[in-house]
Amino acid sequence: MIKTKLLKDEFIYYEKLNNGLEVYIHPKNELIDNYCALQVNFGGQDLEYILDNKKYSLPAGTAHFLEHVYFENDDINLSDEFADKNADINAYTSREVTKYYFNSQVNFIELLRRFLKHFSEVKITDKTINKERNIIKKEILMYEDNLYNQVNDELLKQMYQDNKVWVDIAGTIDSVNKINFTVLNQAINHFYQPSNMTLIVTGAFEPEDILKVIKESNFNKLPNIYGMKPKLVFNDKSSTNKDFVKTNLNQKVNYVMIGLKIDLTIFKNIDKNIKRLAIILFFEYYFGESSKNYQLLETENLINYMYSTYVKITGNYAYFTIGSESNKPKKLIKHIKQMLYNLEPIEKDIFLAHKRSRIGNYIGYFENVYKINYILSDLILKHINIYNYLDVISNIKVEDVLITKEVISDKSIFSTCYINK
Amino acid sequence: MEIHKKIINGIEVNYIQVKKHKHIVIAYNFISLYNYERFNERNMLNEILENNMQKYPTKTKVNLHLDMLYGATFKSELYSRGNIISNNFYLKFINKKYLKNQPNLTESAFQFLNELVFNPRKYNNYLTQKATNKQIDEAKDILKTYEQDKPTYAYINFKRAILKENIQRLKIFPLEEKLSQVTKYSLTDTYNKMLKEDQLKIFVIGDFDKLEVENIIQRKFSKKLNNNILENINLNFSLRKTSNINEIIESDDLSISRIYLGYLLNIKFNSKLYFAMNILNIIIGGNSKSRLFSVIREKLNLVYYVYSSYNHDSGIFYINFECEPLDEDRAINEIKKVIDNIKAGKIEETEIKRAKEYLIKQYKSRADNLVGLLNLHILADIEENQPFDLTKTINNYSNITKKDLLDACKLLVLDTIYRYTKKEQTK
Repeated sequence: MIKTKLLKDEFIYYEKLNNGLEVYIHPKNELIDNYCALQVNFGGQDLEYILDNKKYSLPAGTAHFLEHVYFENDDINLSDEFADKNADINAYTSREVTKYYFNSQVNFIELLRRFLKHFSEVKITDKTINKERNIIKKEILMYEDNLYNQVNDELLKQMYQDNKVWVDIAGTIDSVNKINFTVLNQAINHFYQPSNMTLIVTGAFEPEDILKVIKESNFNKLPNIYGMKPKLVFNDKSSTNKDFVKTNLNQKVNYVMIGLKIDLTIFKNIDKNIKRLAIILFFEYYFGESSKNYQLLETENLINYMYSTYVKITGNYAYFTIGSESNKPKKLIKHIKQMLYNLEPIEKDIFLAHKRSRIGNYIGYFENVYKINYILSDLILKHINIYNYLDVISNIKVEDVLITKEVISDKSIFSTCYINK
Repeated sequence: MEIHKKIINGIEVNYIQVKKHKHIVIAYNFISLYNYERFNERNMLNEILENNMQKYPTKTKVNLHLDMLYGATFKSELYSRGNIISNNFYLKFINKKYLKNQPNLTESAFQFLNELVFNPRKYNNYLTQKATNKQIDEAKDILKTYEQDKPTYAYINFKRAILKENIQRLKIFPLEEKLSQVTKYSLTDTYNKMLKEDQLKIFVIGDFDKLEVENIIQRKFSKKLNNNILENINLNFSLRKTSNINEIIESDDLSISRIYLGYLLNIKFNSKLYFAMNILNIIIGGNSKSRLFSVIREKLNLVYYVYSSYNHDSGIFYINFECEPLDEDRAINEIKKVIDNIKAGKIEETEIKRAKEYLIKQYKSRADNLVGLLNLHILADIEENQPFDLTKTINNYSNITKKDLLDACKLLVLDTIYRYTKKEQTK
């Protein structure tokens, strides 16, 4: 195991097993909770991919469906077993990953053994598939009447023709009907390979004891059949409709979103650790709640407390969005576009404040096992070097951040507006 | 962990020293008796004070200043329990020992909170008309957002329906019916009373230098406040109930129906019944091992989620789920059967043990988290006028018997069924 210092009193242990599974162990002996997460690089976006020179496809919602059925194995319900030992186990699927996790205060080693056994010996039955299909269909309906989701999805549809960016992670009623034993088996064989997963364990224990359990488990014996990760097939084309307006008299509010596609090729000569941070700091500087633009939009009553910004950066695509309820939606869109085209120079004091804020936030994660596990999983997923993260923040320069300015052009800006009059 | 209480210049200061966290948190709590008529104003004060500082007059300037303090986070909340209401202001910042040049953030944190609470912008001694208008506009926007967001709309309307005879216990901001009464005069009056008549308590939690903190408080609060000690605190109340089941159906353009089943409970705070009801809630619908989850979701596949919740302050125990309109009646009937079954005494000892362990685990986890621990102390201080005692809490839950649970069960009489359903399904 390689031991590396993360902060003055925080250390992480790393080992890659022979079958490719990466293990990160962060001991935190002064806290009471223990937390383990198994992260599989398989999410809502994995609908078309290449593996071993062959192209494959899956129905929308497959990763999420698999997450549902993975808890039940030969009629054993893992949630029940963990609840009996006073532990919580759960999972979620994002666009990029499926994550299974559990926490406990007692019996952690025993539960870790059980967790690893389960996820190395899953047997899926048609009975479970049919039961979960019914439940998932209800889950899909829950979000269909959410205005804010509708606007977000519509905007992303304009920005990207490729449904991997916007299709509901749970899929659609039609796509869920197409998911069966064969589909799920294909997904398991292609994505649930040890080299496509990461195990992150945080809590009160000795790292050697944790690694011993992992090495003794069947997880260590899982074969690495392909020796490579599935590669996503992605189409970056936009739709022709750049500004979309929908009127619905039943709406109680107007909701507006503006999106900017980020062309990642302009960052090709920049270190990937700096690239990501540079993009985030750029949008935080110009549109965060400490920015002059935010203040202007608020003063002119163009936004309200629902104002939010979001930066998405994946290996294949990246975008930035701003959303808000607004009494003057068209004026808001016009103003934000003008702001994007007329960015003022970056003031060094404000830039320093933003960097300090990032440093404080990062240090602050390390007092709670859930937050530690979350930040480590997130950085690992994004291939960020966790060992010098604070140095990267401290050393990033205004020039690095300003590269993002080059992505702004008429063709990269989109807007969606759902209004009630 | 060490806990000390000290009176400095008339202010009760509570020190909670814990070594293992990266942050320090300072909280100012202004506590007074709950007044339904001024509930909106008490809520609005938090936001007004944050956005109308003399020194940092805009939200942008506030955020920038906090960014400079290495991402310090400010939070305010209005806490209410029984006949008590408290405006709580928190500043959480990184302990300087984790920062390279060890800047003195503790002094800056107190400075910021004092500026925010005691030095707002005023015009002719009143909070400004502009700030007032902004709060009223925002409250109106919040009401529209609630209406737009279907799950929130259902929740609020359910609470309004079940508390119709006890509307003072609603405590959901903003109270629409009182919004027209808010003026710069009512806001300023509420603010002045908060400073002059409330009891101010300060909490400091983390690995801090007590002498340094004491010295700062001595300096920053040299002008003595009228720090009234609150009396006549009453955390219990009697809810008025009607004898019939109150059934409400609202329809809208929805993808799925949102249903609430509500029960009104008169239970004394920190009594055996209180702890029993919290355990019963876990058994009925508190987690994924609960009866409702096992039967309604896992066995009958009628819903994606179903859960129960018990809140002593509003006196409501409720069950919430979303389902397809055609399954509404069946789901309601099956839930009634689950409750009847429990009321008939069919509770396993293993279920009781698991529910107790689950609750105790949650308390232990909260007490191990800096903000969680602070909130437990603040609650215990308001509710019992003493520090939070984890061992006592664990014992309170451990000592509950099956008989106690059955006594709590007897109180479960269905009061309200609220359905927010698809238009064509309206009956």
